[in-house]
Amino acid sequence: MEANAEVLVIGGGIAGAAAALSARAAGRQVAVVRAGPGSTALTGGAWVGDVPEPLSAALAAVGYVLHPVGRPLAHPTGELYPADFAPPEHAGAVVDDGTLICGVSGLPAFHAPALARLWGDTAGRDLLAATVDAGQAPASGWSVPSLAATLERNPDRFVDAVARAVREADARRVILPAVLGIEGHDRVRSAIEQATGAVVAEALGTPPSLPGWRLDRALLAALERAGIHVHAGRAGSTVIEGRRVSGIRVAVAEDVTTVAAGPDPVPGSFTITADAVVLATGKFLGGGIRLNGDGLQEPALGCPVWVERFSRRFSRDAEPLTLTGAGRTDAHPLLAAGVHTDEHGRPVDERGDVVYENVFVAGAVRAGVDASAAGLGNMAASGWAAGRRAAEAI
Amino acid sequence: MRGRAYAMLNLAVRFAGQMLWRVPLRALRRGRELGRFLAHVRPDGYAPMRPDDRARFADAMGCVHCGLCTLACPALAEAPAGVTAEPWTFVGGPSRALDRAIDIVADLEPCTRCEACAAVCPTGVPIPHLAAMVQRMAHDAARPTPREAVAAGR
Repeated sequence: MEANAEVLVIGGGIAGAAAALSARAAGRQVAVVRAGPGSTALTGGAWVGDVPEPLSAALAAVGYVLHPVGRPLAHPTGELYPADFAPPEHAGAVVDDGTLICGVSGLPAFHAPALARLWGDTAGRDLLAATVDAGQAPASGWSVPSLAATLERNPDRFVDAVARAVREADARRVILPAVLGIEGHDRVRSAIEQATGAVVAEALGTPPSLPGWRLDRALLAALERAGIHVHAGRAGSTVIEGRRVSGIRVAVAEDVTTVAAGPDPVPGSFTITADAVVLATGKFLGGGIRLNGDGLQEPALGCPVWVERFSRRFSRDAEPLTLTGAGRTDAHPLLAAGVHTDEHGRPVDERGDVVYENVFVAGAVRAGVDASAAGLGNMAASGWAAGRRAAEAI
Repeated sequence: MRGRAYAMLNLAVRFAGQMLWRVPLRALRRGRELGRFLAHVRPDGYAPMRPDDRARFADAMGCVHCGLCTLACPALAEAPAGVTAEPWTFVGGPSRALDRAIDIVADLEPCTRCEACAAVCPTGVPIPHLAAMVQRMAHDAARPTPREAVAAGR
Protein backbone atom coordinates (compact mmCIF):
# COMPACT_ATOMS: atom_id res chain seq x y z
CA MET A 1 0.00 0.00 0.00
CA GLU A 2 1.17 3.50 -0.80
CA ALA A 3 -0.17 6.84 0.35
CA ASN A 4 0.66 10.40 -0.48
CA ALA A 5 0.27 13.77 1.21
CA GLU A 6 1.59 17.27 0.81
CA VAL A 7 2.08 17.61 4.55
CA LEU A 8 2.61 14.50 6.65
CA VAL A 9 2.19 14.86 10.41
CA ILE A 10 3.79 12.20 12.61
CA GLY A 11 1.88 12.09 15.89
CA GLY A 12 -1.79 12.65 16.67
CA GLY A 13 -1.75 14.30 20.09
CA ILE A 14 -2.60 17.95 20.65
CA ALA A 15 0.49 19.28 18.80
CA GLY A 16 0.14 16.87 15.87
CA ALA A 17 -3.60 17.44 15.50
CA ALA A 18 -3.11 21.22 15.65
CA ALA A 19 -0.37 21.00 13.02
CA ALA A 20 -2.55 18.89 10.72
CA LEU A 21 -5.54 21.21 11.06
CA SER A 22 -3.35 24.27 10.49
CA ALA A 23 -1.74 22.83 7.33
CA ARG A 24 -5.22 21.86 6.11
CA ALA A 25 -6.48 25.37 6.82
CA ALA A 26 -3.59 26.64 4.69
CA GLY A 27 -5.00 24.59 1.82
CA ARG A 28 -2.66 21.60 1.91
CA GLN A 29 -3.55 17.96 1.58
CA VAL A 30 -2.63 16.42 4.94
CA ALA A 31 -2.15 12.94 6.38
CA VAL A 32 -1.49 11.96 10.00
CA VAL A 33 0.36 8.88 11.25
CA ARG A 34 -0.66 8.04 14.78
CA ALA A 35 0.64 5.15 16.87
CA GLY A 36 -2.05 5.68 19.50
CA PRO A 37 -3.12 8.19 22.11
CA GLY A 38 -0.17 9.81 23.83
CA SER A 39 0.05 11.97 26.90
CA THR A 40 -2.65 14.28 25.49
CA ALA A 41 -5.16 11.58 26.38
CA LEU A 42 -3.90 11.63 29.97
CA THR A 43 -4.42 15.36 30.53
CA GLY A 44 -6.90 16.48 33.17
CA GLY A 45 -9.02 19.04 31.31
CA ALA A 46 -7.17 22.29 32.11
CA TRP A 47 -5.65 24.27 29.23
CA VAL A 48 -2.71 26.58 29.89
CA GLY A 49 -1.56 29.03 27.23
CA ASP A 50 -3.32 30.80 24.39
CA VAL A 51 -5.14 28.44 22.04
CA PRO A 52 -5.05 29.41 18.34
CA GLU A 53 -8.50 30.75 17.52
CA PRO A 54 -9.10 28.55 14.41
CA LEU A 55 -8.19 25.47 16.47
CA SER A 56 -10.73 26.24 19.20
CA ALA A 57 -13.28 26.78 16.42
CA ALA A 58 -12.44 23.39 14.88
CA LEU A 59 -12.79 21.72 18.29
CA ALA A 60 -16.03 23.55 19.05
CA ALA A 61 -17.42 22.29 15.74
CA VAL A 62 -17.10 18.72 17.02
CA GLY A 63 -18.59 19.57 20.42
CA TYR A 64 -15.43 20.30 22.42
CA VAL A 65 -15.95 23.88 23.56
CA LEU A 66 -13.25 25.81 25.44
CA HIS A 67 -14.37 28.40 27.97
CA PRO A 68 -12.01 31.03 29.36
CA VAL A 69 -11.15 30.41 33.02
CA GLY A 70 -9.88 33.10 35.32
CA ARG A 71 -9.16 31.08 38.46
CA PRO A 72 -7.38 27.83 39.36
CA LEU A 73 -9.39 24.63 38.94
CA ALA A 74 -9.85 21.85 41.48
CA HIS A 75 -7.62 18.84 40.86
CA PRO A 76 -8.23 15.58 42.75
CA THR A 77 -4.68 15.53 44.09
CA GLY A 78 -5.90 18.28 46.42
CA GLU A 79 -4.22 21.09 44.51
CA LEU A 80 -5.73 23.96 42.58
CA TYR A 81 -4.34 23.97 39.04
CA PRO A 82 -3.88 27.15 37.04
CA ALA A 83 -5.91 27.17 33.82
CA ASP A 84 -6.58 29.64 31.02
CA PHE A 85 -9.27 27.61 29.28
CA ALA A 86 -11.32 24.51 30.04
CA PRO A 87 -14.36 22.68 28.68
CA PRO A 88 -17.58 23.89 30.34
CA GLU A 89 -17.83 20.87 32.65
CA HIS A 90 -14.51 21.84 34.29
CA ALA A 91 -14.66 25.63 33.89
CA GLY A 92 -16.95 25.81 36.93
CA ALA A 93 -14.63 23.78 39.17
CA VAL A 94 -13.50 26.86 41.08
CA VAL A 95 -13.88 27.03 44.83
CA ASP A 96 -15.95 29.67 46.64
CA ASP A 97 -17.28 29.79 50.19
CA GLY A 98 -20.03 27.21 50.48
CA THR A 99 -19.04 25.17 47.43
CA LEU A 100 -20.08 21.56 47.94
CA ILE A 101 -17.52 18.84 47.19
CA CYS A 102 -19.49 15.72 46.40
CA GLY A 103 -17.85 12.29 46.25
CA VAL A 104 -19.33 8.96 45.23
CA SER A 105 -19.31 6.10 47.71
CA GLY A 106 -17.17 3.26 46.43
CA LEU A 107 -15.12 5.50 44.11
CA PRO A 108 -11.50 5.68 45.29
CA ALA A 109 -9.19 8.67 44.79
CA PHE A 110 -11.91 11.29 45.37
CA HIS A 111 -12.40 11.58 49.11
CA ALA A 112 -14.73 14.55 49.41
CA PRO A 113 -14.02 15.59 53.05
CA ALA A 114 -10.25 15.51 52.50
CA LEU A 115 -10.49 17.40 49.21
CA ALA A 116 -12.81 20.00 50.77
CA ARG A 117 -10.14 20.66 53.41
CA LEU A 118 -7.22 20.71 50.94
CA TRP A 119 -8.87 22.91 48.34
CA GLY A 120 -10.45 25.09 51.03
CA ASP A 121 -7.12 25.64 52.82
CA THR A 122 -5.34 26.47 49.55
CA ALA A 123 -7.97 29.01 48.51
CA GLY A 124 -8.77 30.26 52.01
CA ARG A 125 -12.45 29.28 51.68
CA ASP A 126 -14.87 27.19 53.70
CA LEU A 127 -16.06 24.26 51.61
CA LEU A 128 -18.68 21.62 52.34
CA ALA A 129 -18.40 17.91 51.68
CA ALA A 130 -20.87 15.14 50.99
CA THR A 131 -20.71 11.59 49.63
CA VAL A 132 -23.58 10.14 47.62
CA ASP A 133 -24.55 6.72 46.38
CA ALA A 134 -24.56 5.99 42.65
CA GLY A 135 -26.12 2.55 42.85
CA GLN A 136 -24.71 -0.85 43.62
CA ALA A 137 -20.90 -0.53 43.43
CA PRO A 138 -18.89 -3.59 42.40
CA ALA A 139 -17.31 -5.47 45.31
CA SER A 140 -13.91 -3.91 44.68
CA GLY A 141 -15.32 -0.40 44.28
CA TRP A 142 -16.09 1.70 41.24
CA SER A 143 -13.57 2.16 38.50
CA VAL A 144 -13.79 5.43 36.57
CA PRO A 145 -15.03 3.88 33.30
CA SER A 146 -17.54 1.54 34.90
CA LEU A 147 -19.04 4.35 36.99
CA ALA A 148 -19.13 6.72 34.00
CA ALA A 149 -20.83 4.10 31.82
CA THR A 150 -23.32 3.31 34.58
CA LEU A 151 -24.20 6.98 35.10
CA GLU A 152 -24.61 7.51 31.38
CA ARG A 153 -27.06 4.58 31.17
CA ASN A 154 -28.98 5.21 34.33
CA PRO A 155 -28.40 8.65 35.88
CA ASP A 156 -31.70 9.12 37.75
CA ARG A 157 -30.74 7.78 41.16
CA PHE A 158 -27.43 9.64 41.15
CA VAL A 159 -29.02 12.90 39.99
CA ASP A 160 -31.57 12.67 42.82
CA ALA A 161 -28.88 11.90 45.40
CA VAL A 162 -26.68 14.83 44.33
CA ALA A 163 -29.68 17.16 44.19
CA ARG A 164 -30.62 16.17 47.73
CA ALA A 165 -27.06 16.76 48.97
CA VAL A 166 -26.95 20.17 47.27
CA ARG A 167 -30.27 21.21 48.82
CA GLU A 168 -29.21 20.01 52.27
CA ALA A 169 -25.98 21.98 52.03
CA ASP A 170 -27.76 24.92 50.43
CA ALA A 171 -24.84 25.12 47.98
CA ARG A 172 -24.70 27.30 44.87
CA ARG A 173 -21.91 25.26 43.35
CA VAL A 174 -21.10 21.55 43.48
CA ILE A 175 -17.86 19.89 42.34
CA LEU A 176 -18.07 16.21 41.44
CA PRO A 177 -15.37 13.81 40.27
CA ALA A 178 -14.91 13.69 36.46
CA VAL A 179 -17.10 10.61 36.02
CA LEU A 180 -20.45 11.98 34.82
CA GLY A 181 -20.30 9.99 31.58
CA ILE A 182 -17.72 8.91 29.08
CA GLU A 183 -19.00 11.24 26.37
CA GLY A 184 -22.59 11.80 27.51
CA HIS A 185 -21.54 13.78 30.60
CA ASP A 186 -23.41 16.93 29.51
CA ARG A 187 -26.79 15.21 29.91
CA VAL A 188 -26.03 14.12 33.49
CA ARG A 189 -24.58 17.51 34.37
CA SER A 190 -27.52 19.52 33.03
CA ALA A 191 -29.97 17.15 34.74
CA ILE A 192 -28.37 17.97 38.10
CA GLU A 193 -28.24 21.67 37.25
CA GLN A 194 -31.95 21.67 36.38
CA ALA A 195 -32.84 19.79 39.55
CA THR A 196 -30.89 22.13 41.85
CA GLY A 197 -30.22 25.44 40.14
CA ALA A 198 -26.61 25.16 41.32
CA VAL A 199 -23.52 25.31 39.10
CA VAL A 200 -22.39 21.71 38.54
CA ALA A 201 -18.77 21.07 37.66
CA GLU A 202 -16.49 18.10 37.25
CA ALA A 203 -13.10 18.37 38.94
CA LEU A 204 -10.08 17.88 36.67
CA GLY A 205 -9.12 14.30 35.92
CA THR A 206 -6.25 12.05 36.92
CA PRO A 207 -5.36 9.02 34.78
CA PRO A 208 -7.41 7.17 33.68
CA SER A 209 -8.69 10.62 32.84
CA LEU A 210 -12.06 10.99 31.15
CA PRO A 211 -11.30 14.66 30.34
CA GLY A 212 -8.18 13.53 28.45
CA TRP A 213 -10.09 10.76 26.74
CA ARG A 214 -12.81 13.19 25.62
CA LEU A 215 -10.15 15.55 24.23
CA ASP A 216 -8.47 12.70 22.37
CA ARG A 217 -11.79 11.66 20.80
CA ALA A 218 -12.50 15.30 19.91
CA LEU A 219 -9.12 15.66 18.17
CA LEU A 220 -9.82 12.57 16.04
CA ALA A 221 -13.30 13.86 15.22
CA ALA A 222 -11.90 17.28 14.26
CA LEU A 223 -9.31 15.64 11.98
CA GLU A 224 -11.98 13.52 10.34
CA ARG A 225 -14.22 16.54 9.87
CA ALA A 226 -11.40 18.41 8.15
CA GLY A 227 -10.94 15.50 5.75
CA ILE A 228 -7.58 14.51 7.20
CA HIS A 229 -6.73 10.83 6.98
CA VAL A 230 -5.36 9.29 10.20
CA HIS A 231 -3.18 6.25 9.55
CA ALA A 232 -2.83 3.92 12.53
CA GLY A 233 0.79 2.88 12.86
CA ARG A 234 4.23 3.86 14.02
CA ALA A 235 6.64 5.77 11.79
CA GLY A 236 9.55 3.46 11.11
CA SER A 237 12.28 4.04 8.54
CA THR A 238 12.65 7.24 6.57
CA VAL A 239 13.01 7.88 2.85
CA ILE A 240 15.61 10.65 2.57
CA GLU A 241 16.63 12.64 -0.49
CA GLY A 242 19.61 14.83 0.32
CA ARG A 243 18.57 16.86 3.33
CA ARG A 244 14.87 16.31 2.79
CA VAL A 245 12.54 13.63 4.08
CA SER A 246 10.45 12.52 1.13
CA GLY A 247 8.62 9.65 2.74
CA ILE A 248 8.01 7.59 5.84
CA ARG A 249 7.70 3.87 6.12
CA VAL A 250 4.89 3.17 8.59
CA ALA A 251 4.87 -0.03 10.60
CA VAL A 252 1.46 -1.36 11.59
CA ALA A 253 1.74 -3.71 14.54
CA GLU A 254 -0.19 -6.94 14.51
CA ASP A 255 -2.31 -6.24 17.53
CA VAL A 256 -3.19 -2.69 16.55
CA THR A 257 -6.72 -3.11 15.30
CA THR A 258 -8.80 0.03 14.92
CA VAL A 259 -8.36 3.65 15.82
CA ALA A 260 -11.46 5.82 15.67
CA ALA A 261 -11.58 8.01 12.55
CA GLY A 262 -9.03 5.80 10.81
CA PRO A 263 -9.41 2.88 8.45
CA ASP A 264 -8.91 -0.72 9.53
CA PRO A 265 -5.14 -1.01 9.36
CA VAL A 266 -3.54 -4.03 7.73
CA PRO A 267 -0.62 -5.42 9.75
CA GLY A 268 2.66 -4.95 7.94
CA SER A 269 4.04 -1.72 6.62
CA PHE A 270 3.40 0.88 3.94
CA THR A 271 5.01 4.08 2.70
CA ILE A 272 3.61 7.60 2.80
CA THR A 273 5.36 10.11 0.58
CA ALA A 274 5.20 13.76 1.52
CA ASP A 275 6.59 17.16 0.56
CA ALA A 276 6.89 18.40 4.14
CA VAL A 277 6.79 16.62 7.48
CA VAL A 278 5.73 17.75 10.96
CA LEU A 279 7.34 15.78 13.79
CA ALA A 280 4.98 15.82 16.79
CA THR A 281 5.64 12.46 18.38
CA GLY A 282 5.72 13.57 22.01
CA LYS A 283 8.41 12.67 24.51
CA PHE A 284 8.83 9.44 26.45
CA LEU A 285 5.20 8.35 26.80
CA GLY A 286 4.30 8.88 23.16
CA GLY A 287 7.51 7.20 22.04
CA GLY A 288 8.94 10.34 20.41
CA ILE A 289 12.09 9.98 22.52
CA ARG A 290 13.33 6.52 23.40
CA LEU A 291 16.13 5.27 25.60
CA ASN A 292 18.16 2.31 24.45
CA GLY A 293 21.73 1.09 24.83
CA ASP A 294 23.03 3.93 22.67
CA GLY A 295 21.38 6.62 24.74
CA LEU A 296 18.39 8.75 23.83
CA GLN A 297 17.05 8.49 20.31
CA GLU A 298 14.31 10.03 18.23
CA PRO A 299 13.08 6.90 16.44
CA ALA A 300 10.74 8.34 13.79
CA LEU A 301 13.24 10.41 11.78
CA GLY A 302 16.51 9.83 13.62
CA CYS A 303 16.99 13.48 14.59
CA PRO A 304 19.80 14.18 17.10
CA VAL A 305 18.57 14.29 20.69
CA TRP A 306 19.88 16.79 23.22
CA VAL A 307 19.79 16.78 26.98
CA GLU A 308 20.37 19.78 29.17
CA ARG A 309 23.62 19.64 31.21
CA PHE A 310 25.38 17.58 28.58
CA SER A 311 28.16 19.12 26.60
CA ARG A 312 27.12 17.09 23.58
CA ARG A 313 24.63 14.59 22.28
CA PHE A 314 23.57 12.09 24.92
CA SER A 315 25.19 8.89 23.74
CA ARG A 316 27.75 6.38 24.93
CA ASP A 317 30.64 8.75 24.23
CA ALA A 318 28.99 11.74 25.91
CA GLU A 319 30.49 13.63 28.81
CA PRO A 320 29.95 12.10 32.27
CA LEU A 321 26.31 12.35 33.20
CA THR A 322 25.20 14.80 35.83
CA LEU A 323 21.56 13.97 36.02
CA THR A 324 20.91 15.40 39.44
CA GLY A 325 20.40 19.09 39.95
CA ALA A 326 21.40 21.30 42.85
CA GLY A 327 17.87 21.48 44.20
CA ARG A 328 16.00 18.41 45.30
CA THR A 329 12.82 19.65 43.66
CA ASP A 330 14.46 20.77 40.39
CA ALA A 331 12.91 19.27 37.28
CA HIS A 332 14.90 16.26 36.09
CA PRO A 333 17.08 17.20 33.11
CA LEU A 334 15.75 14.24 31.14
CA LEU A 335 12.38 16.01 31.05
CA ALA A 336 14.08 18.63 28.88
CA ALA A 337 15.59 16.07 26.49
CA GLY A 338 14.49 16.38 22.90
CA VAL A 339 15.19 17.70 19.44
CA HIS A 340 16.78 21.14 19.15
CA THR A 341 15.40 23.37 16.41
CA ASP A 342 16.42 26.48 14.50
CA GLU A 343 14.29 29.63 14.44
CA HIS A 344 11.99 28.04 11.81
CA GLY A 345 11.39 24.96 13.94
CA ARG A 346 13.57 22.64 11.84
CA PRO A 347 15.71 20.01 13.62
CA VAL A 348 19.41 20.84 14.08
CA ASP A 349 22.48 18.75 14.95
CA GLU A 350 25.37 19.43 17.36
CA ARG A 351 26.85 22.11 15.11
CA GLY A 352 23.52 23.88 14.69
CA ASP A 353 23.14 22.76 11.05
CA VAL A 354 19.66 21.90 9.85
CA VAL A 355 19.27 18.11 9.60
CA TYR A 356 16.16 18.04 7.39
CA GLU A 357 15.06 21.15 5.52
CA ASN A 358 11.42 20.10 5.18
CA VAL A 359 10.82 18.82 8.71
CA PHE A 360 9.19 21.00 11.36
CA VAL A 361 9.22 19.95 15.00
CA ALA A 362 6.28 20.62 17.33
CA GLY A 363 5.12 19.81 20.81
CA ALA A 364 6.86 17.86 23.54
CA VAL A 365 9.48 16.19 21.33
CA ARG A 366 11.39 19.49 21.30
CA ALA A 367 14.35 20.00 23.62
CA GLY A 368 13.69 22.12 26.68
CA VAL A 369 9.93 21.54 26.54
CA ASP A 370 8.19 19.73 29.37
CA ALA A 371 4.65 19.34 28.06
CA SER A 372 3.04 18.91 31.46
CA ALA A 373 4.60 22.19 32.62
CA ALA A 374 3.97 24.06 29.35
CA GLY A 375 0.28 23.15 29.07
CA LEU A 376 -2.10 22.09 26.32
CA GLY A 377 -2.58 25.59 24.88
CA ASN A 378 1.13 26.10 24.36
CA MET A 379 1.52 22.64 22.80
CA ALA A 380 -1.41 23.43 20.49
CA ALA A 381 0.15 26.77 19.53
CA SER A 382 3.47 25.08 18.76
CA GLY A 383 1.69 22.52 16.57
CA TRP A 384 -0.33 25.20 14.81
CA ALA A 385 2.83 27.17 13.97
CA ALA A 386 4.68 24.08 12.73
CA GLY A 387 1.77 23.08 10.50
CA ARG A 388 1.66 26.57 9.00
CA ARG A 389 5.42 26.54 8.33
CA ALA A 390 5.20 23.09 6.74
CA ALA A 391 2.37 24.27 4.50
CA GLU A 392 4.38 27.31 3.45
CA ALA A 393 7.62 25.36 2.89
CA ILE A 394 6.25 23.46 -0.10
CA MET B 1 51.81 -23.32 54.58
CA ARG B 2 50.94 -26.99 54.90
CA GLY B 3 47.41 -26.09 55.90
CA ARG B 4 47.02 -23.95 52.79
CA ALA B 5 48.29 -26.72 50.50
CA TYR B 6 45.92 -29.16 52.18
CA ALA B 7 43.00 -26.78 51.65
CA MET B 8 43.81 -26.30 47.97
CA LEU B 9 44.14 -30.07 47.47
CA ASN B 10 40.85 -30.63 49.25
CA LEU B 11 39.18 -28.05 47.01
CA ALA B 12 40.62 -29.69 43.87
CA VAL B 13 39.36 -33.13 44.90
CA ARG B 14 35.91 -31.82 45.70
CA PHE B 15 35.82 -29.91 42.43
CA ALA B 16 36.81 -33.02 40.42
CA GLY B 17 34.16 -35.02 42.27
CA GLN B 18 31.55 -32.41 41.46
CA MET B 19 32.49 -32.42 37.78
CA LEU B 20 32.57 -36.22 37.45
CA TRP B 21 29.58 -37.13 39.53
CA ARG B 22 27.15 -34.36 40.45
CA VAL B 23 27.05 -32.42 37.19
CA PRO B 24 26.17 -35.39 34.91
CA LEU B 25 23.66 -36.58 37.50
CA ARG B 26 22.06 -33.17 37.59
CA ALA B 27 21.76 -33.10 33.81
CA LEU B 28 20.08 -36.53 33.92
CA ARG B 29 17.62 -35.50 36.62
CA ARG B 30 16.92 -32.07 35.22
CA GLY B 31 13.48 -32.80 33.87
CA ARG B 32 12.42 -34.47 37.10
CA GLU B 33 13.62 -31.59 39.24
CA LEU B 34 11.76 -29.09 37.10
CA GLY B 35 8.64 -31.21 37.48
CA ARG B 36 9.05 -31.28 41.24
CA PHE B 37 9.56 -27.51 41.32
CA LEU B 38 6.45 -26.92 39.21
CA ALA B 39 4.40 -29.25 41.40
CA HIS B 40 5.34 -27.03 44.34
CA VAL B 41 4.55 -23.69 42.74
CA ARG B 42 1.50 -24.62 40.66
CA PRO B 43 -0.92 -24.57 43.59
CA ASP B 44 0.11 -20.93 44.08
CA GLY B 45 -0.96 -20.19 40.55
CA TYR B 46 2.44 -20.16 38.87
CA ALA B 47 2.83 -21.90 35.54
CA PRO B 48 5.80 -21.75 33.16
CA MET B 49 5.87 -19.11 30.45
CA ARG B 50 6.11 -20.16 26.83
CA PRO B 51 8.93 -18.88 24.63
CA ASP B 52 6.60 -16.45 22.82
CA ASP B 53 5.42 -15.12 26.20
CA ARG B 54 9.03 -14.52 27.15
CA ALA B 55 9.72 -12.79 23.84
CA ARG B 56 6.97 -10.23 24.53
CA PHE B 57 7.58 -9.89 28.25
CA ALA B 58 9.69 -6.75 27.83
CA ASP B 59 6.84 -5.03 25.95
CA ALA B 60 4.41 -6.20 28.59
CA MET B 61 6.42 -4.35 31.25
CA GLY B 62 5.86 -1.02 29.46
CA CYS B 63 2.63 -0.22 31.31
CA VAL B 64 2.59 3.31 32.77
CA HIS B 65 -0.76 2.83 34.56
CA CYS B 66 -2.52 5.47 32.49
CA GLY B 67 -5.73 3.44 32.36
CA LEU B 68 -6.62 4.29 28.76
CA CYS B 69 -7.23 0.59 28.11
CA THR B 70 -10.02 0.63 30.68
CA LEU B 71 -11.60 3.68 29.05
CA ALA B 72 -11.50 2.01 25.63
CA CYS B 73 -12.87 -1.35 26.79
CA PRO B 74 -16.49 -1.84 25.66
CA ALA B 75 -16.86 -5.01 27.74
CA LEU B 76 -15.84 -3.12 30.85
CA ALA B 77 -18.56 -0.51 30.40
CA GLU B 78 -21.10 -3.32 30.00
CA ALA B 79 -19.91 -5.44 32.93
CA PRO B 80 -18.71 -3.13 35.71
CA ALA B 81 -17.86 -5.99 38.02
CA GLY B 82 -15.70 -7.75 35.43
CA VAL B 83 -12.54 -6.70 33.68
CA THR B 84 -12.95 -3.23 35.04
CA ALA B 85 -12.96 -4.08 38.69
CA GLU B 86 -9.21 -4.39 38.80
CA PRO B 87 -8.15 -3.06 35.45
CA TRP B 88 -4.40 -3.12 36.02
CA THR B 89 -4.17 -6.39 37.82
CA PHE B 90 -2.91 -8.08 34.73
CA VAL B 91 -1.78 -5.13 32.64
CA GLY B 92 -0.16 -2.99 35.31
CA GLY B 93 2.68 -5.36 35.89
CA PRO B 94 2.71 -8.85 34.50
CA SER B 95 5.03 -9.93 37.27
CA ARG B 96 2.22 -9.21 39.70
CA ALA B 97 -0.30 -11.06 37.60
CA LEU B 98 1.74 -14.23 37.24
CA ASP B 99 0.94 -15.56 40.69
CA ARG B 100 -2.63 -14.33 40.50
CA ALA B 101 -3.67 -15.88 37.22
CA ILE B 102 -6.18 -18.14 38.98
CA ASP B 103 -7.69 -15.20 40.88
CA ILE B 104 -8.08 -12.80 37.98
CA VAL B 105 -9.00 -15.17 35.18
CA ALA B 106 -12.70 -14.94 36.10
CA ASP B 107 -12.52 -11.13 35.75
CA LEU B 108 -11.39 -11.63 32.16
CA GLU B 109 -14.54 -13.56 31.27
CA PRO B 110 -16.42 -10.56 29.81
CA CYS B 111 -13.47 -9.90 27.45
CA THR B 112 -14.62 -10.19 23.83
CA ARG B 113 -11.07 -10.04 22.39
CA CYS B 114 -11.95 -6.92 20.43
CA GLU B 115 -8.40 -5.58 21.06
CA ALA B 116 -9.62 -2.01 21.53
CA CYS B 117 -7.31 -1.86 24.56
CA ALA B 118 -4.20 -2.57 22.45
CA ALA B 119 -5.23 0.09 19.93
CA VAL B 120 -5.14 2.85 22.55
CA CYS B 121 -2.12 1.75 24.60
CA PRO B 122 0.44 4.59 24.42
CA THR B 123 3.36 2.29 25.20
CA GLY B 124 2.32 -0.66 23.05
CA VAL B 125 1.71 -3.23 25.77
CA PRO B 126 0.43 -6.40 24.02
CA ILE B 127 -2.66 -6.54 26.25
CA PRO B 128 -4.60 -9.22 24.30
CA HIS B 129 -1.50 -11.44 24.35
CA LEU B 130 -1.15 -10.81 28.08
CA ALA B 131 -4.80 -11.71 28.69
CA ALA B 132 -4.40 -14.93 26.73
CA MET B 133 -1.25 -15.68 28.72
CA VAL B 134 -3.04 -15.18 32.04
CA GLN B 135 -5.87 -17.43 30.88
CA ARG B 136 -3.44 -20.13 29.76
CA MET B 137 -1.45 -19.92 32.98
CA ALA B 138 -4.59 -20.19 35.09
CA HIS B 139 -5.57 -23.22 33.04
CA ASP B 140 -2.13 -24.80 33.41
CA ALA B 141 -1.90 -24.01 37.11
CA ALA B 142 -5.31 -25.55 37.80
CA ARG B 143 -4.47 -28.75 35.94
CA PRO B 144 -2.99 -31.48 38.17
CA THR B 145 0.61 -32.46 37.46
CA PRO B 146 1.20 -36.10 36.43
CA ARG B 147 2.45 -36.87 39.94
CA GLU B 148 -0.70 -35.41 41.51
CA ALA B 149 -2.85 -37.31 39.04
CA VAL B 150 -1.16 -40.58 40.05
CA ALA B 151 -1.51 -39.76 43.74
CA ALA B 152 -5.20 -39.06 43.25
CA GLY B 153 -5.59 -42.44 41.50
CA ARG B 154 -6.67 -40.92 38.19
